Amino acid sequence: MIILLAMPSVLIVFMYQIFSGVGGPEGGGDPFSLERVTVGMTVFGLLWLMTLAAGKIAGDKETGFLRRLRTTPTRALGFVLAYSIPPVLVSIFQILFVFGVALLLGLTWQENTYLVLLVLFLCGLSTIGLGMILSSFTSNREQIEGVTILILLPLAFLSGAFMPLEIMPSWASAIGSATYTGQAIKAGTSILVDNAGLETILPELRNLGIWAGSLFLFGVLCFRRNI
Amino acid sequence: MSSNTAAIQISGLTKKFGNLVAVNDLNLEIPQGELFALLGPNGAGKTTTINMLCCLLKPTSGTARVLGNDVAKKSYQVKKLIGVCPQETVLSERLNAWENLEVMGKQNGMSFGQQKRAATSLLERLGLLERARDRVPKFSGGMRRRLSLAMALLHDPEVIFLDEPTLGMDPQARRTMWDYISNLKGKKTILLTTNYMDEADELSDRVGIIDRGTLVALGTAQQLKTDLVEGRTLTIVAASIQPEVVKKLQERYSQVTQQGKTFRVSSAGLDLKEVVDYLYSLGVTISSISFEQPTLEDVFLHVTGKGLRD
Repeated sequence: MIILLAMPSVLIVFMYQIFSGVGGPEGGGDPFSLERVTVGMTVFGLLWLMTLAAGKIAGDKETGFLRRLRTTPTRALGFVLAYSIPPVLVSIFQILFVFGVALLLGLTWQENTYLVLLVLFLCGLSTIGLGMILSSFTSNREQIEGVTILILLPLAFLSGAFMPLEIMPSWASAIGSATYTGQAIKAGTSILVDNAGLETILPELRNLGIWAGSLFLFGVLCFRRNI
Repeated sequence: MSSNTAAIQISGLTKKFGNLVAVNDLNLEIPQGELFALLGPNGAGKTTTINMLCCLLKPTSGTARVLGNDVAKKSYQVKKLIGVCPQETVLSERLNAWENLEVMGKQNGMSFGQQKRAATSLLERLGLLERARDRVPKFSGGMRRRLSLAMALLHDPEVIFLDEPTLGMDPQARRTMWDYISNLKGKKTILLTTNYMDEADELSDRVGIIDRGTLVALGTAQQLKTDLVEGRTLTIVAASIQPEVVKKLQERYSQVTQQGKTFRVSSAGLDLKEVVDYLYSLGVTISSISFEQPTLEDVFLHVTGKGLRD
């Protein structure tokens, strides 16, 4: 848990210190500026919540603990909340923690920065939903760890968590833009780098809302079927 | 709930997994306060029956009621009344003993105060109070079993399902469990499954033996021993015994085995006086003679056979 919380902050420090000023495409700004790195690494950190959300369910399925809990008078909603609220709280704490570190490193709080927090929260919610979906198709922690790594690393790379989509091949950039993480990074970077407002990021925010709602709802349905 | 409502009523209960009939037309009634032992070879349908009774599995056909509540239609009400100690020692490995109990308490709607009192009392009685804050991975197999039992009993359920609760325990730990379970007799209804015949013999009010999903014997342990094991066995120690005497005994009784000066004579309706008279007539001096009581294991093997199961 501590690693999960600290990892994005540590990565921000490293990426910012090592790559800042390396340069990018003409007119594209610094691809490793503190603003870009903060958004990218927060999204990367949030992706690991997939392991947390899915691993907890898979672990309790594997040991039979979930089955034991099913002999208690608990409604399905109770199970959904019990397994989804902790990772949601972790995601909120992680976002705040990362932004705290970024502010210490010199990130400027602008009038629209709060929108980034909303964007990242929706990204975290989508990831938790994805984790719940994955946990329905796996039966133990080992499987979950393997599957989530296979999903989260390509997703992080393609969505521009480590480098801007603009410097990627067009096919990779196209795929990345379609993902919820790509949408989150695009919106987050626009706000922090260009001080974009709600109107500018509305399309990405709407897409993220749809992603978050669909993935979380589908995750809940899969989990309910499981219990 | 009326006091004469049966705690468990099972009528025509059947569970199929594809072509496999795990439980076949099971009919059983367990009155309130009874400790009922359900015995059977591995794969006989004991755990499937319990899983249906605690609403984890839906019956294919038939009905089962717990204190009048249909397990298929009123699962929420049933779950409020039951406590389950599963076959596998199912605990959360991430938590300590106290936290495991807390989770069960919360899920069963207990207040913090109720949880604290019940958990302290149970942990003390089951010898785990000093280890309450230890994480589960540090626990021995016996300690895990005891904690699992505590989790089943925490909310003071009316009906308790104990699925092989002492499996793999050492004799001391088994005794502790037996003592605790014995204390619940008469106060709670307990459905116990076990592969230990002595456990069923010692603890149960009644015994049911299930084989291939069907109930093949039902009664008190004593009734089953008396009614189902036809042959009686006499153990005789003689001062000296000639081979021709053994031969004559073998001609007269269905089974005679000899080991040194001791021989065992088994036959249906064996009469002590008749055997003694016959031995005297053969010139045998008897040092000691005793009837062997059939055990529940004899009954079990008699009704389920001696063939290996899965």
